[in-house]
Amino acid sequence: MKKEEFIKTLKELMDTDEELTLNTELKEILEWDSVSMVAFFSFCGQRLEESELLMQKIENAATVGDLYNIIGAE
Amino acid sequence: MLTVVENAKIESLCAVVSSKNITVEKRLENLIDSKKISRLKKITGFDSFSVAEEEICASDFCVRAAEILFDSEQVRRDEIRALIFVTQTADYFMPSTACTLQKRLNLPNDIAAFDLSLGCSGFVYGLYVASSMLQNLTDGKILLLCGDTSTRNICHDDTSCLSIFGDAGAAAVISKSAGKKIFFNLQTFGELSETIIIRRGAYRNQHLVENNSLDVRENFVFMNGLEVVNFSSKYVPQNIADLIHFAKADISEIGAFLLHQANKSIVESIAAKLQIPSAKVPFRASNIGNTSSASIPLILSEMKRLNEQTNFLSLISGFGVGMSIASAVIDFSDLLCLPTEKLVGGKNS
Repeated sequence: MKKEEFIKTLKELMDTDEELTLNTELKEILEWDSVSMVAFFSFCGQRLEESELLMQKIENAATVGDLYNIIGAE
Repeated sequence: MLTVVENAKIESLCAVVSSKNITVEKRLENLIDSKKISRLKKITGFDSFSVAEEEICASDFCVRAAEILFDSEQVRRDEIRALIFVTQTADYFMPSTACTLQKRLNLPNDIAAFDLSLGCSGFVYGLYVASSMLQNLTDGKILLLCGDTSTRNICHDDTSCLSIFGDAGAAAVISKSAGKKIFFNLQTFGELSETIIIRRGAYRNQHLVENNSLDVRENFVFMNGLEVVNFSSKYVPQNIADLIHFAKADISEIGAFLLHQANKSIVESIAAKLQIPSAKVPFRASNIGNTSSASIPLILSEMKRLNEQTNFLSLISGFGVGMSIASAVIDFSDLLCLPTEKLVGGKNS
């Protein structure tokens, strides 16, 4: 998934108006909460074969870039 | 545990919800802002909830559902050999609610009656127990009742649970049927037992009052929502895939996948992982909520109410508190499914 497409999708999932870059810290985004985590988990779960540690990776993510790496940067 | 029970079927079923229906906006009023409510609705798929009136217990929903089945004249009271009540919200700590239900439903004394303490996997567990019991009976049928008033267990400001749970009950008649098979896959993950838990009130920790107050978080249900989502994604698809393989079935021959209506995104996630077309995986709880053990029969009764086809070879799967998963492949081709009814106070509409 291309970076621009990922950021657009993430903004939709979180329903946020914030400007996001790969360096944006998740703790700075008001809408990054358990609801967004579940939304992102579902988004990843439908695309990734292996989800063994997926939730852990999402919970440990610190930046938008960390989330991008989970889904697989191109 | 993969197993098969032969010569048994669900003959008829009916589900009952409350006439009291509360929107998610009303429930979460003053707790979270409208933008977050809208995001929650998108994820959970729940717009409003069936909520039991104060005087109504899970057993009351089930009594109404059972009476509707008796009124349909598909089953007579004297044919019932056992009554199984699946719930996590019994009328009393003791006796078993099933014993009081025997009396309330005017069933004969020479029946077995007992409660099964299970939640979201409970309907399929109840079906397994009932169909297994039939193997040792020469005649007769088993009345399986399941229901919960989970909303009673929610702390007033627990937005995770307030945005999910509803109340309902259902009744099903399990009978012998030559040649019919029900394939089961039952699993238990006790190491995750604290994922959904009410810590106080039973015998491990009876102490309810703190600083002269009963308003203690541990008196109410705790749900680790992220862990529930993780569990559902990690274990349920494999449970279902193993069952399909064991039943020597194929996803294409199964007409409907009736998954516990935990929430919409969980149901969709499981379907996507198994590559099941979404049309075969109904979500019919948008205006009811997650009703624990009643959720699978409620999908069928809602489909009936909406004039949708229910007579398929089906896969049913319940998963949740325990943590526990129970799935079955079952033929519903001659199932008598009645449309969902509403309970108004103690009466149905």
